[in-house]
Amino acid sequence: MLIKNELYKIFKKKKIYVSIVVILITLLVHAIVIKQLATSNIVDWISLIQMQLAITGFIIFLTVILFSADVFSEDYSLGTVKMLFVRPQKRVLIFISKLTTSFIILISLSLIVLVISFLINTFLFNVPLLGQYISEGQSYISYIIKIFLASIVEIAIYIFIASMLAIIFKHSSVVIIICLVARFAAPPILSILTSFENIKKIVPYVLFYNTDLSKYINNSSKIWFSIVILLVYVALFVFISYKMYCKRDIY
Amino acid sequence: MNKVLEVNNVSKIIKGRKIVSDFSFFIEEGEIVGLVGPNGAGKTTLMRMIVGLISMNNGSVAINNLSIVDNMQECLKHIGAVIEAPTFYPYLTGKDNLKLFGSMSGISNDDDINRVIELVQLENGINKKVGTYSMGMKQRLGVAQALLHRPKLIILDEPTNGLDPVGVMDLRMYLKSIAENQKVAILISSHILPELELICNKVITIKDGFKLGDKKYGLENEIASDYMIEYGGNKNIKTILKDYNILDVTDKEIRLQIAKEEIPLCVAKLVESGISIYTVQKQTASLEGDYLETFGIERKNNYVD
Repeated sequence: MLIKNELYKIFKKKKIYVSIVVILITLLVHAIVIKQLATSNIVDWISLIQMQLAITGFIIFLTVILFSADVFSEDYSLGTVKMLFVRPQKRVLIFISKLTTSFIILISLSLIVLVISFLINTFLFNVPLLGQYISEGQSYISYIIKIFLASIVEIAIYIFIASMLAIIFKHSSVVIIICLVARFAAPPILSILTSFENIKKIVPYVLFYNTDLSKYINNSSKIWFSIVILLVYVALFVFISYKMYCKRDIY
Repeated sequence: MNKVLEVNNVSKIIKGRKIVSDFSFFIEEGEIVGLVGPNGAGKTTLMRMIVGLISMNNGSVAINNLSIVDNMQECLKHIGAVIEAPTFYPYLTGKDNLKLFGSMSGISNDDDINRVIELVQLENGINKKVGTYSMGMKQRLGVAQALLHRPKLIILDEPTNGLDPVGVMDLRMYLKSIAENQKVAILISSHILPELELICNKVITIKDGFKLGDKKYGLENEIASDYMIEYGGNKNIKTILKDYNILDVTDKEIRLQIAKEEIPLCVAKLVESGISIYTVQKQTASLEGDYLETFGIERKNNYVD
C-alpha cells in the first residue's frame, strides 16, 4: 500500500513520462544513425546492445537519481513528512517503501530499454540473437544478461547514495550534483591514485573502484571481492539513512 | 471520565534552550481544551511531542494510558492532527491527497472520504490540484484529513487561520458536536482568543514553555463577564454603580464585570437615576482580558477617565 502510494505520486508527475519518451527517442535516433552508417554485416547483437545500454544508461541514471532524491527530499521541502509520520505506520516501513519505489523505477526503465532494444535489433537490423556464441559456453543471451545486470547494479548503488544524501540534506539539487560529480570524477581520480605506490593498496577498497561489475564479465575470479565491498558500503548507507530518517526530530 | 491524553512533566531542550518546561495537563473524553500563548511560547513544540514527531528530554505523554514513545503506532491510530499549517502534495488533487493519507490510516473507501469532504464543505475544489488552493481551502483539507479516521483525540494547531467567518463557525459547531456526541477529546491552539472561549471547556496558558495556569470556561462556570453599557445623561454613573466592578468608563459607555442575573437590577438602578440606556452588550473578550493579564501585558487603554 505504501509502495503503491509512492508510485501513484510518481506517475502523477510529468518527469517520469519525459524520461521514458527521451529513452525511446534516443534509441530510435541511435538505431537510425547506425542503420545509415553501417552495413548490415558488421553489426551484431553484442555491439548494438552495448551501445544502447551505454547511451540510455546515463538517462536512466539521471532519472533514477532524480526520483530517489526526490522521493525523500520532497517530503522535507513540502513539509509533508509530518503528515506521513502522524499516521499509524512504522517509519521504517515508509523508509523501505520509498527505497523500493526507486528500485522499481530503475528496473522498469531498464526493462523498457531491453525490450525496445530487442525490438529494434530484431526487426530493424535483423540480427540473430538465439544460437549465437561469443566463445565456448558464453552465449549472446547470457552475455547480455550479465552486462544488463552490471548496469543495474551500478545505478542501484547510486540509489542508496542519493537516498542517504537526500535524507541528510533534505534537498534534491545538491544530491544530484554530488552523484553526477561522483560518477564522472571517480574513475579519473582513482586512476591517478593508483599511480601512487603508497596509496595504491587502498584503492580496491574504495566504493567507486567496485561499482562497475562489467569488468568481471570475461574474468569473474575477483567478482566476490567487489560484491562484498559493495555490500559493506550499502549496509553503511542504509544504516545512516535509517537512523536519520526514522529517529530525527521533525519540525 | 477517561483521560484520553495525559501529558506529564514534559520538557524539551533545543540547543541548550528549554522550549517546554515540565508541562503537565490532561484531556478527558468529550473535553475541548484550548492552548493559548504568545508566538514562540512552545505551543507547537508541545503538540509535536504529543504526536511523537519530536522526542522529549523528560516526562511522558500517554494516549488512552499508552505511552506514545513505546506504542507510537497504536497511539497514532487514535489521533487526528494538524500541526502548524497543513501540508499536501501540490501536484495531486485534494481528493487524491485525502486518499493517500487516508490509506495510511486504514481508510480506503470513498464513503469515508466523501463524508469529511462534505463536512468541511470542500466539494467544489476537491478535484482540483492542491497547488491551486487558497490558504482557507488547505486549512479545510487539513481538518478533513485529521477527521478522516474518526480519531478519539483531535489536535488542531491554529485551525481557524485563513478560514472565513462561516468556515470558522462551521468548524466550531462541528467540533462541539463530535465532542458532545462522540466523546472525542480535542486540543486546539489559537490566537483568536474569543474563538477559544466560545468552544473550550478549559483553556491552558503557556509562556516561554511554562504552564501559567488553566481556567475553566463554558456556561456552567460563568460567574461574571464583561458587559458594555451605552448610556446618556448623568455623568455620576460611577457613584451610582459604585457597588459594581467597573473596568472602564467614558461619557457614553461604561464597562462592567457583572453576572448575568445582576443585569436587570443594575439597569433598573441606572434608569431610576435618570440615565438613558441605549444598549447593553456582552463583551466576549473576557479571555482576552485574562490573556493580557496572565502574560503581563498592559491593556492599551484608549478611554479617558
